[in-house]
Amino acid sequence: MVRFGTSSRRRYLLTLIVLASITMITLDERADDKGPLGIVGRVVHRVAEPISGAASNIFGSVGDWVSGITDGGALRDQNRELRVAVQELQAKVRDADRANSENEKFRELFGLPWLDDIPTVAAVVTSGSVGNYEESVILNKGTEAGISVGFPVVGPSGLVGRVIDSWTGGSKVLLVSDPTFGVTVRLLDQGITGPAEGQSGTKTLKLNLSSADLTVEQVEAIVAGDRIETCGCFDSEFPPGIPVGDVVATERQTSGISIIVKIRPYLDRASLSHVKVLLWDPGDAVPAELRATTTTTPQSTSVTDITVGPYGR
Amino acid sequence: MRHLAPRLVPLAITILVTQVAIFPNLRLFGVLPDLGLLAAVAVAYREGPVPGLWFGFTVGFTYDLFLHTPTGLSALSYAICAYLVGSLERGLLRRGRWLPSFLGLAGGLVEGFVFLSVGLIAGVGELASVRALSIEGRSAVYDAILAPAVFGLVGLVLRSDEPAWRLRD
Repeated sequence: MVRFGTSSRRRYLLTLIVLASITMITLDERADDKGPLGIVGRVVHRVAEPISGAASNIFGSVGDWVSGITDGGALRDQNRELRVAVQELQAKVRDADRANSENEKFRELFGLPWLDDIPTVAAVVTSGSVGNYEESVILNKGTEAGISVGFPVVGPSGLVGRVIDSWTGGSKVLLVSDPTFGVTVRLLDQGITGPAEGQSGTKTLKLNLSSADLTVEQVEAIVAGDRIETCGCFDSEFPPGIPVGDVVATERQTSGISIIVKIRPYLDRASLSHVKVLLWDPGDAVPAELRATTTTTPQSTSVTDITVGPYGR
Repeated sequence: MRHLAPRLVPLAITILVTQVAIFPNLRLFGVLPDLGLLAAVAVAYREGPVPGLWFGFTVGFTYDLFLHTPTGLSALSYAICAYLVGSLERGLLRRGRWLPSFLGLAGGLVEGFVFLSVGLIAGVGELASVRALSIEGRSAVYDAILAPAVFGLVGLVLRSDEPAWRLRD
């Protein structure tokens, strides 16, 4: 009779666990959160959500204090930059008032859908990502409020992300700054459209344009500061017109075939406390009947009216 | 091993709840620690490789359910790391005030290496960056800071009148 020694048994167990882990990794990658592991994950989220929410209320201010200590130098720099930005913004507000009245006329003229006409659900960010390799937040509303996987999420400054998981009492949102995030966008001034995607190691998005489809004038017209919004085209997962970010740089690849436009998202994760989930299925056009029946929750406010405050990290 | 389960299950639940509910608000250097890994390393150091292996796998798997990265990645890296620590001859590790911090730092780095390597093989693109290495480094430092507290907690939970060698396997 063959008997396992202690070291043989240890190695056998180690092999078993390594194989089990690799099987789970493979299954999870193939099922993409729709398989049994995804279901188990949603159940675990549901159980942990009340505890997480309560802990966030208690420890959020402690987290701010810790961040204040470790990020002190960065905060001073940020404060200086913000003072300059405030002055610039005050000047822009005057221009914006004039532009808004023009915009109203154009919207009436072209019948562009108002984003506010899409049914929305206001939600509170209860906690940040629980891992180091994802940019996500947890919301306090889920399937009971009609929130499903794929719904776009917006905040005071524009696009926040997309719902990637939803359960009773909560949902998980993949932020626009995550490396795996993708969105079809339009350069507002030039009208150029294309797919933007996240990049590893940075929080900027990358818009890859083919120089064959663009004129020299169009390429030269793309400059830092150009505004980017969702285009809603090519069966996009987002409705048109949601502000995404600003162009920070353009690079022509050495082959000369493509032009990389780097976009800095407007999303400010540190101050994100309230969001609106758009009850809008990816790929759908904005249906006319939805424009007439906005079903926001009673405490909801317009995205532009939300008052944001410091909220952990 | 069986007699450890009644103590390790509440410990695992406590560690996980703390990790996913409290520590997202307590980031240091912009990263989160791996409390599950620290507990697994502490269990492995105290009880040997097999209890550490099981504990690391279980805690890592449950933590994976909260993450966007593939399920099983943390389970594998925690389990391997705990097994390595548990397999070290005790004579090689001299007891001392800094031992938990050293094991926390070394464990964090080894776990990070396994996590990134297997993640890359599994096709997780965002792990292929200098930022990922930086995250693992900072997280390992955070682990080292918290290690004495977690080792203390594990020691408290597993405290027994039996000598340590009898608890192993």
